[in-house]
Amino acid sequence: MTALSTTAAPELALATSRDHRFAELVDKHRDQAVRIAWRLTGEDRATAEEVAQDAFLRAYTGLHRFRDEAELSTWFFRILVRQASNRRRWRGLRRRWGDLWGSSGPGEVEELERVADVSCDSADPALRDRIACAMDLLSPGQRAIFTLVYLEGFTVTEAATLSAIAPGTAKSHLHRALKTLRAELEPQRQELGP
Amino acid sequence: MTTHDSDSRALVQRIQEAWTPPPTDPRRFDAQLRSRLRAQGRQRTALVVAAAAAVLLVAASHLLGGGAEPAPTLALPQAVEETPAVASAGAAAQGVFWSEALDHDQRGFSLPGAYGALDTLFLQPTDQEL
Repeated sequence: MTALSTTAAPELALATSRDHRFAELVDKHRDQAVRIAWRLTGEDRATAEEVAQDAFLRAYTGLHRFRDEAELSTWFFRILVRQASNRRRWRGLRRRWGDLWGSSGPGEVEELERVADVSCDSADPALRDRIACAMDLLSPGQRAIFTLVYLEGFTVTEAATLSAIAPGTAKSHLHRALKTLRAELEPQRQELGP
Repeated sequence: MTTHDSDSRALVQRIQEAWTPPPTDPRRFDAQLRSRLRAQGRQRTALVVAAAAAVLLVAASHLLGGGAEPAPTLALPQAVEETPAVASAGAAAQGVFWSEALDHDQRGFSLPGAYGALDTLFLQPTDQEL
């Protein structure tokens, strides 16, 4: 059983079905949630874990309203994708704010330092960094759909549902994302290819 | 399968392998999540208690002060009207207000005219003040 359930504090004892369901959800999707958050936000692991926890907290709060009309996991991942998207948008706003005003408070510096330490300008960046830089060139929608479909194994329809867009738009995102990544990572074909 | 497709598949596979986050410690993750859940629960409890206290306070003040007179500020306009100087200034200004508000060429209500009239009504010193 999950660490969450076995070591739960008395007030969180899994007496109710909601708690039981929640513990199962966390246990089953913890790793994938962190991985998706990490890939969608492009930030460090701690931030990805925070985003995943935010999504779990929201799921816990709204679990009593869940009507079983969709899969619980689909519902949860939709929350997660939205959380990650909000996180990216918020980071973009803070950066723009910093650029506009030319200074950032201690909190903002700490916040910006949490972005994964990737050097896109380096002459010989590591393969991981090159991929991260290429992913940063994608629009948020393309990045989300590419990650969900190609890296996480969701179908195009599922990914479209999770991102709250039409399947046709998702297909278009997927096509453009792949085109951009192929172009960007072409010089590394020898290293990337089989 | 076309070469293009197989190339794309190989590219995706390599990205998948090379671009993954460091592993998460499930115990630490769950402990943090539990702690945040507890904090959220405490916040909610505090909110409920605060809301209940506010409702009780309003109810108590209503019960205790149900038959009280209206607040003194409510009687202020009447007190002001009773001052002769203010009353005469008010009466004079009322006439100015409507005549100025009806614009110079009688086309209707104009905002500058209304502002001027309001100035006259509220800002002109009375004879007593002078």
